[in-house]
Amino acid sequence: MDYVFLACALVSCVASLMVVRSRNPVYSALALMLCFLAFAVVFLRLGAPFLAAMHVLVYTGAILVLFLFVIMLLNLKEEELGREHPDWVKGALALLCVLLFGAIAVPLAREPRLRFRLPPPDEGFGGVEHVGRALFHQYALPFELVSVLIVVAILGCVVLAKRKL
Amino acid sequence: MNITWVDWISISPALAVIGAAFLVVLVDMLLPKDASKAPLEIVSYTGIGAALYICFRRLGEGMPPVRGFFGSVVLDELSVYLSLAILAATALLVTMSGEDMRRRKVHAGEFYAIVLLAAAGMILLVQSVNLIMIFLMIEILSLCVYVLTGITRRQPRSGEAAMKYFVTGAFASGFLLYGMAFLYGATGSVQLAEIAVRLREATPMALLGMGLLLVGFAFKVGAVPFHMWVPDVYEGAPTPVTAFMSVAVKAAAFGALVRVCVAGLPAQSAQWGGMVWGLAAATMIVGNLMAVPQRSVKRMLAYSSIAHAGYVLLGLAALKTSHAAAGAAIFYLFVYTFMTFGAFATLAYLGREVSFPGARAPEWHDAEDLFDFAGVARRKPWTAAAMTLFLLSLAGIPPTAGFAGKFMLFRAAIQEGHYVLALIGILMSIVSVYYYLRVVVYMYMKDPLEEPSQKGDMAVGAAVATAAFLTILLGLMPGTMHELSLRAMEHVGR
Repeated sequence: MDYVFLACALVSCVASLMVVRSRNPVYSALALMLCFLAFAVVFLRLGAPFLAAMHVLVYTGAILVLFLFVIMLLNLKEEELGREHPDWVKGALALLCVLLFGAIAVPLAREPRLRFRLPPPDEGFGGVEHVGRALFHQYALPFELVSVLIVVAILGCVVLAKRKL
Repeated sequence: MNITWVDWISISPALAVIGAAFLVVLVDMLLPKDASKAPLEIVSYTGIGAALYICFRRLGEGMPPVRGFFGSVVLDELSVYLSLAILAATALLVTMSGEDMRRRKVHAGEFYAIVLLAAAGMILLVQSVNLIMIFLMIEILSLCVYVLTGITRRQPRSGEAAMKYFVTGAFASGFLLYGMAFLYGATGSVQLAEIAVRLREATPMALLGMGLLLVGFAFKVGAVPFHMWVPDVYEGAPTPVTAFMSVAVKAAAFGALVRVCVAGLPAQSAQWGGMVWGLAAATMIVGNLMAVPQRSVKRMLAYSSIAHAGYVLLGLAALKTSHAAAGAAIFYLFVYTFMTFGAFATLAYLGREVSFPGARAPEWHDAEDLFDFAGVARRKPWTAAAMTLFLLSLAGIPPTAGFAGKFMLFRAAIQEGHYVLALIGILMSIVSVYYYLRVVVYMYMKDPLEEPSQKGDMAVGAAVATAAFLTILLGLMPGTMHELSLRAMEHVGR
């Protein structure tokens, strides 16, 4: 049994529940941070240190801080958060989610591929060098095309948000 | 790593368009503030023209597919064929939007740049043979289309449509990515050819991945039951943008879907064939029936574009037995490009400026309501004739392109024994005649309510005329393009 993985899975599940359960968006964002940190530990356990570091830097560092900024800028009042559903609706939806999870997880557990152990990865797997080689070799085209995606995002922001062009 | 000429050739059509997009932004910056925006159009045309030239060169007999960048993309007959449709739609949009976008108070520089980048994303999407590329290109084109939907930001309707599209689209992208993750988990590869080799039987994980992937694609092409966003978004977006996205996005997403099914999941054809069968039947029925009660012509055309997605899915559902029906579906996509673009462009051509009491400046309104079409034939006989042509073509009445497309499609479906789907398709086409002809009745047999005799924009008129010409041409001479589509489908798995 991999106790580190179990602990991380538990933490991320509880944290995700806190994200959707809490009424205050700031708490939700902070719980999301906890969830992301647990993911990062899972990446570390899987032998992907670079991915773990990027996950912390990009998601926890940049994106969540942005979330918090936006939440604080909006400064929502209690009545603007909207009404909650009654408890029985929430309970029914939760049950539906659990059933859906079961419908996916039970057949997946019988997946033949999960039964055999994969060979251990090569030396240096998941490190900066390995990831860099993959990005600039086999995945060079998608990697470069991400820049086009970013240009689109910048142009879109300018077009939609600038007061006067 | 070494990038060779072959790599560059494999992405050359998209490179030309991306280059033009960046040039547009630069030239726009250098232009004086009140100068004419014609140079931007010229730059856009150059990029599109170069890409079209490359595609036409590749159409020739027996051109081998060009693979590039470690098998990320392939320039084969299917991608060239669909790229032609995408580039044609882009060229038509660029043609019509010079003066038209000024009237809608849209800044031309960014508009052309985003349109070109969207086209580049679509071209690369139909060329992608690897899950990462497919996802990335879908994101590029979706992001562009979200922005284009909301580009008339002074109109609340446009902003609302963009927001709806963005939120639901991001959700659908999540499905797509989740499906891809499962497929990767089941096979250990993102390369479609590798996935096909390693996925001999249908394991639960592979099936789950495939199902989620189909949901994502069904959303992007607007198939029932993932079509809820289509009417609102198509109605809210500025009409030229609606014209563009209803044809180009569909062509690109269908291209990727066909490639994933044929090249990546050939062993699971029974499973995805069944799912696509259901999607096709539901999409044809719901799309056509929902179009009947619409009073807004724009919304009616939105539902009609859902219905047409159903016809194309019909061809895909028949793909598990042979390639003829899928080839006919690809040909139908090509035909659909011009008739739908033309119909939406006519709405823009018949638009007029309306000054509301209290508003500072008159606002641009496209002809959207049925009453806007009352008596058009008397004021603008040529426009009415063109619109009639597009509507007859959409309904599938000879001698238009729509008839040729539907005829080939239903014939192929019947020959391969898909009687139920073909029957649904034919019945629903008959239903569609009602709501298409209603617009024609309004144009020719009703008296106009008022006389808003405003001259239509020349450029929009040119786009309408071009689309009408191609609709007739493809109707009279469908042979070449149909054969090319059949050949494209035969070679796609190789």
